[in-house]
Amino acid sequence: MLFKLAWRNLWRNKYRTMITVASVFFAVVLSVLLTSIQRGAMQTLVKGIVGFYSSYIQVHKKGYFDEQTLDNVMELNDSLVASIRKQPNVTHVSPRLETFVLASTGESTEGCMMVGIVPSEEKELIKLGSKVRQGIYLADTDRGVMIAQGLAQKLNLKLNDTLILLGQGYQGVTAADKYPVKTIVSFGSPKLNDGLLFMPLAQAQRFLSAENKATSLVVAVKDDRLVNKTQQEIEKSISPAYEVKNWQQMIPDVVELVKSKSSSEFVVVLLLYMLVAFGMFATLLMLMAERQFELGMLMAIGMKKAQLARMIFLESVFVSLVGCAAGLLVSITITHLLSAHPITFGGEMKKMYENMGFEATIPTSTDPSIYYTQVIIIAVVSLVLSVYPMLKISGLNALKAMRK
Amino acid sequence: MSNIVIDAINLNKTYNPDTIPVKAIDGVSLQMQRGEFAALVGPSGSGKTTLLNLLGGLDKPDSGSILINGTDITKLSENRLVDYRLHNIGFIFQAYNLVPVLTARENVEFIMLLQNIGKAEREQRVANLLNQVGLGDKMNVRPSQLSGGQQQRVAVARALASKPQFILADEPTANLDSHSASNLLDIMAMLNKEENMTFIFSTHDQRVIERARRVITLVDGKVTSDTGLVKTQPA
Ligand SMILES: Nc1ncnc2c1ncn2[C@@H]1O[C@H](COP(=O)(O)OP(=O)(O)O)[C@@H](O)[C@H]1O
Ligand SMILES: [Mg+2]
Repeated sequence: MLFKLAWRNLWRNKYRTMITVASVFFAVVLSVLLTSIQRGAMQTLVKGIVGFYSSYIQVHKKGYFDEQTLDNVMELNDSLVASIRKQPNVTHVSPRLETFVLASTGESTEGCMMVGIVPSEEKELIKLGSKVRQGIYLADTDRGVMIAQGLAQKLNLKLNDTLILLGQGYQGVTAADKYPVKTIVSFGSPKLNDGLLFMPLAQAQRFLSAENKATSLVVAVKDDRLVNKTQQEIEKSISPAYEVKNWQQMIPDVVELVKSKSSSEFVVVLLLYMLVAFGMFATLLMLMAERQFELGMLMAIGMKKAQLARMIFLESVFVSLVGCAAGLLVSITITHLLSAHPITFGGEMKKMYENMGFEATIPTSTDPSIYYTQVIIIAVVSLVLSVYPMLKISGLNALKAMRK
Repeated sequence: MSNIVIDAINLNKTYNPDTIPVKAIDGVSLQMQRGEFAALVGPSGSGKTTLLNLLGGLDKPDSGSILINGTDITKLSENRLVDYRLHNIGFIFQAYNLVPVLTARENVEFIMLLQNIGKAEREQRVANLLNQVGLGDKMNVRPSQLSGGQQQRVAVARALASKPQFILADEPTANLDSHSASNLLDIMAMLNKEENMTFIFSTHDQRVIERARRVITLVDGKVTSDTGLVKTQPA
């Protein structure tokens, strides 16, 4: 009965009800789209750095992360690799030997990060194969370097030119050699694109006099949401002489960026819902004033305050429910469509994005948490707002309400 | 069982006791028998509404007691009073008695829903009552499509639906033309007879007063004449 009454009451002032429903609807749609695109962009960014370079987890000799020098290299051993690989969420484990070197053509010299990798592993692990712009993808035993596009440009290097590398090897030994440029690779992140140089691990170990040594084991995971759990499991299964770092620890600047972006996104969403809340509150104010007499009459003939309160509460619930359901329906459809068929843009933007190694699309996230967050917000807003009619009703006196 | 439905003893009610005191009810005592059809008359401001509100448990007297079938309703808490009104007192107000979003049938049924009466009984009673007040053909019509007189008849049906001890009507005809007013009185008189329902209604319409079998006159909050009890008054 209260349901019927509440439902019909919604139609008393059709336009006001529709405006309120519409405000909830648009708030849900806008904040889902906003959050979805924002998160999508963040995921792309994180993938661009984490997925394409650092990977989600790394294992080092204890102390390496704080002091990244060759003095802190670790001896490679199969049982260590095996115990990391046996974790269910781990897909790849691959050693790297990296250090800072000077790269020179004879005419110009640039500092860069030289990374010794196992090309066959990293092809999958960081999708290095897909980054090749010119030349061939090196085999594990090849001699030569794969240089990032930006660095190649700075050094004015072309494919098959010779590059001179100078550095300090293991235990202070001087390292110097020259290698042919076999490959030019490109990275989305300018930081990576301007300063990276890859070569096969075996060649790097020889160059740095660090036979069978590595600075890190790069670990790739199946499910990036389980990174922290996997990190802990690896920690438990290997000797405490090693340290295990996750991507958030390795690149705190990206984490900060994600955090600040999502807090600015939160502010916008909050403002949106505050607007809606004001609208809903105004509706409640009008509604309670208009129905004063009727509520008094109902109390006089024997309707309890609790029943009146439930009726008014149901009315707000209907409005929120309909607005929220319709908003979710539309926004879930839009975000899923966008993520299945991403909008590709053309022209200048397209070129810019592709040069940076990103796809020229509007990325969208369809993380379920985006949707149920809206439901929670609407529910909280409705609940908080319903305090007003509850208070009003609890202070209601039948006679006073019926007096004009 | 005694036939006295209402026994009000020495009621007093003063509005605004702290600022500008208005003594609205001044030492009123009143008894009502089951089946009475009584008019409460008196000039505007004489305290008719105040007295009806006290008898209906909508307001409390400053002193005095109101026994309804032996229960002193002035001693009931606010919450108990709501329930008491629901089960024991029928109300007809001057206007806007009905819930605008409910049909005539639903308005009458509503009070029985509040009383948790079963569906079968509700439906039968609603149909009977609306037929009795002559609105059998308007059952599914909303109040806005009914005339003022028809709305008041629905209110009468609703007041009866809850099977109260008595029905209070504060100037039920004040907003009606004379034809509708007399029609409403016909229906109330008929229900008073057929259902033995006790009615007390306030009015200052002479034609309505003439229909009453008992006339209680209030002046300045005091009962100055009561034809039902004092039969010695000259004609
Ligand atoms: N809520 C109130 N506050 C103050 N004075 C009131 C209130 N209600 C009624 N009165 C006063 O009490 C007296 C009786 O009023 P009322 O019972 O409404 O008389 P009637 O219904 O006979 O016109 C009047 O003088 C009126 O002004
Ligand atoms: Mg009055």
